[in-house]
Formats: sequence, C-alpha cells, structure tokens
Amino acid sequence: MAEEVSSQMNSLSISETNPSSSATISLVSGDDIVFKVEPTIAKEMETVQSFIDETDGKITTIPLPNISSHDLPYVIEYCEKSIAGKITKEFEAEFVKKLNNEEVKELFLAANYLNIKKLLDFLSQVIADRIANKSVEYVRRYFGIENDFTPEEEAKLREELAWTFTGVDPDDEDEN
Amino acid sequence: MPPTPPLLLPDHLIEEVISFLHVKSLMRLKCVSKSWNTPISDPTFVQLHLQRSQRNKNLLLTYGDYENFGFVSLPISRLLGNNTNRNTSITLSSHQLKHKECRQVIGSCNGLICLFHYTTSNSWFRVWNPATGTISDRFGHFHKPRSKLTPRTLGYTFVYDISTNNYKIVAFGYRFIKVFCFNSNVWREIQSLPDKMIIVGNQNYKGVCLDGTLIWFAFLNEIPYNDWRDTFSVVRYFIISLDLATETRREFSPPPVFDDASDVIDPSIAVLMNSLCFFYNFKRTHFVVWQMTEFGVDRSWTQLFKISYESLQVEHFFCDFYGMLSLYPLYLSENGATLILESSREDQAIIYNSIDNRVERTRITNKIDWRFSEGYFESLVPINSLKEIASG
Repeated sequence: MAEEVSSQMNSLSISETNPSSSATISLVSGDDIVFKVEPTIAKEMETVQSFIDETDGKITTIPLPNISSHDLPYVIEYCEKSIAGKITKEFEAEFVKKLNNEEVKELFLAANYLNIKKLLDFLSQVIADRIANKSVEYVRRYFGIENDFTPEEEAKLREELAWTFTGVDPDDEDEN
Repeated sequence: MPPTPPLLLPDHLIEEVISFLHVKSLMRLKCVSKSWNTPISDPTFVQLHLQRSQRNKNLLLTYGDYENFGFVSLPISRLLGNNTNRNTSITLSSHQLKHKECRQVIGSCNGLICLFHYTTSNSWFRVWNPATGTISDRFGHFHKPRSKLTPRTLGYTFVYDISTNNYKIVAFGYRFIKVFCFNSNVWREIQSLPDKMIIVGNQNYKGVCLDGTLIWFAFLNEIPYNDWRDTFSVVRYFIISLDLATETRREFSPPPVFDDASDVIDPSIAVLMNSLCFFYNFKRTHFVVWQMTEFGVDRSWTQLFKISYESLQVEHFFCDFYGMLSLYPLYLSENGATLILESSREDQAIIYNSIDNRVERTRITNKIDWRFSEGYFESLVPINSLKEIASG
C-alpha cells in the first residue's frame, strides 16, 4: 500500500532531520519513539497543528511527552480513517475491542491532550457505554473516586433514587 | 502484586463522559460521591446532556382508549437498526397517563411532555419529564363555555422559545391564535385571523416547530367561516408561520403542485431532516415529499421523493372497512436516504430505503396509534425550568 509510510515506527536517531523528508511530521512519544505522519494527519490533531503554525512550519518534529508509544499508533490509525472518511460502526467496534478499560482512559486523555474532537467524543461514548449499566461501586472503582457521603446520606439518596437501581449488571472481577 | 491504582480523569473530562449516559444511569450515579451529585443537577450540565441526548431520537407514540391512556417511546435506531428480518415486531415498556390526571399527550419539547385533560366544564395541562419521573402541578386552566358562539380551539402545540428561554403552549382555532406563556401564567390572544382563513395544522391539527418558528398548513375558504355551519371550499392553500420570539405571522406558498388540485390528496406538512417539508398522495398512485431548502423562500421548494405505491407495497382500495389510504412521514434519516412512513391502513411502520428502493416493516406490539407520533428524546430538564409553575 502506498500510504504505509504514515505510521511506521522509527527510532529517534534515524529520523534526525533529513531535508528530503520535510513534508512529513515527526511525532515524538513520551518514551522517545518517533512516528512519521503526513501533514494531513497532523491537521487532525489541533495541538500539533497549532504548534506547527506557531513556528510557520519550520519545526516538524513535535515532542508529545504526555503520550506513550503504546497509544500514539491508535490515535494515528483513528485520524487516518477519519481523513479517509472511513469511520464506520464496524471500524469503531473493532477499534475498541482491542482496548481494556485502562487503555481506553489513556487514549481518552491522549485525545484530549491532542485536541481531537471526534476521537474525544467517540471515546466518551465508549466509556459511557462501559459504565452505563454498572453499579455505583463499580463506577467509583473505575474512576478512582472516593465516596464522601456519610452512610446515612448515601442510604437516603439511594432510597430516593431506588427506581434507578433496576437492571444493573452484576459487578464482574476488575476486567483488564 | 497489589493492583495498580486506576488512571484518574480530571473532573471536566468525567463530565464529558457522563454527558453521554442515559438519564436513568445518570440519576443512579448521583450516589457515587458529592462531587457527582451536584453537577448532574447543574443547569450547564443539563444543557450539555441535552445536546448529546438530542441525537438519540425517539418517536413518542400514544395508545389507549377512554379508560387506559399512555405512551411508549420508540428509539428511531430500532427502526433503522440491522434489518436482517424483513418484518420485525417490537414490544416497548409503556408510560401510563391514568394516574397523571390527564388523558391526552399534546407534545414534547426538550424531553418534557405536555399533557392535557378536559372535561365539559374545565381543562388543564401538566408537564411531565418521564425520564426523571417528575411532573408539574396543573396549570393553564380555562373554562370552556359550551356556547357555539365561542370559537372552538382545534389544536395545541407545546413549544420552546429559545429567544426568551420559555416554554409555551400555542393554541389555534378558526379565527385566532392564542399563546400560554409559563412566565405570565395566562392565555393571551396574539393573532386574530381574517375570516376566510382556515388553519389546519398538520394531520393532527398541530403546528410543526422549526428553529423558533411554529408552522401550520392553512387555506383560504371561499366564504367566511361560520361556526354554525362548517362549509369548506378551498380557494388556495398556503403555509402560515409564527415567529415565537416576535409573535409575527408570515404566509408563504406550498410547492407549485396544485395546477390540478384533484391530483393532490391529503396534503400536509412536517419537519424532516430539520427542514420544512410538504407531502401529499399523488393520484393515489404515489407518495410525494417536497423540501423547503431555504425556510420561507417559496422558490426553494425541491422535490425529495416521489415513491410509487408499488415500491412501498401499499394498495389503494376505494372504500372498505379501513377507509381511504393515507400515508404520513414519521422520520427521514440524516443522510436523506431512509424514510419512515405510517399508513392509515396498517398498524406497522413502513421503512423505505431510497438507495435500493427496498421496503421493510416493523410492528409495535403495544396497541399504539402511529398517526399521533411526536419526536422525543430524554433529558434531565427539571420541571421547575417552566418558571412559576413549580412554585405555584
């Protein structure tokens, strides 16, 4: 395939500025792995694009210290599909099937950092779907939230909202 | 090995995520912590959730007889969803009106449903949010003298006026348009109409709402309207719109299809794909839909569909037990390809795909009346957003 160049992994040393490759953008993950992408992909990532714009396009190697080399290929894959107009229900289902709960959150933070609206909305929906029918306890664990209600307060609230506690999935062991 | 602590998300991102949840899950998750309890009732979050929820379109379908009234909410996605079976049946859980002291659904706006009750001497409204399970007191009472001299009210529409952030009920009769505003808690006549002008509304005598404008189908009658004798002879059809913010009235033309008016059967209007549409049955052989691509501009009428009865697998019989065939559009998919229709002769939805000219049907086992369908989506909008009604 002609476009395979887009998400190849290269080590930092190889990518050191070669004038002939100035058309591509190098994204450097937090663990120092370089990903070369087409400028159209960079455009999907608002944070990256504004960095390029600010330097009038002179700088094409962009450090992304908050994003790991594990997550970046997923982000790039999603952006590629998005540009190609190939984001289908099937693609999305396949895309998240590979990701466990922690990975989805990681990717969600990456999408937020890179400011990719479509990916952010999509992953919000994915996380929402994963917690939709879960118990209050499960959701606390999922987001690492401490229960700051007194037992009395919580019991009262649960009583008022008793009608919302039907059809809740049983908690499974922390899936990862 | 101790489990690694979960990755924490900042509060604003958690809000982003949970704004995609259905109301019932959200209400349950109020129990997660104090920091979750408050935002879920916060107006900004309610608004964010509303924006998301609008995409999950439902049809609100009423059922029942004199004794037992209610409605079901049917997600459009279930009609458009994987159509492997050509004909499917769906059973939905129902919301009963019996204990709400109301017998009729007027309409729905931002997840709120306006109910109506009438007796020979009195009538009232209530507003209900079925997703959060809250309902308003009775309001908008008006005595309805039986005198024939009082112009009769024909139809009510429940609307949201975005310019003033106000819910309203708009009523029309043969010579008037009245509005009930929740801020002032009174009925006010805002338009009196020329005596030959007859408002029809849509097929259910309701206005249709588009971007802060309420729209009715109407016609000019040959003789002035007389309460004693309903004699109608159409001189000319037209469309009336009422700007909810300014309360000004405009009139414009339907598409140019009335050269031979006898070919145009059961014309009416609907809002489909966020545009005003005009539809009719042509010579009892085709169903036709026009779209006004630029609102209020007569020359922007464009024909969207002309579908033969054969393609829809419907047949016209002149007269039998079921009466004449009428078709009404319920929904048009965002890409404009799939049209959901209702037929007066069937108890199931007709799902027509214009790309491959394919038809499927879905039956709802609840005894619903397809004709009185309304658009609906669930929301967290509190009843007290109707202003004084809650405190009254």
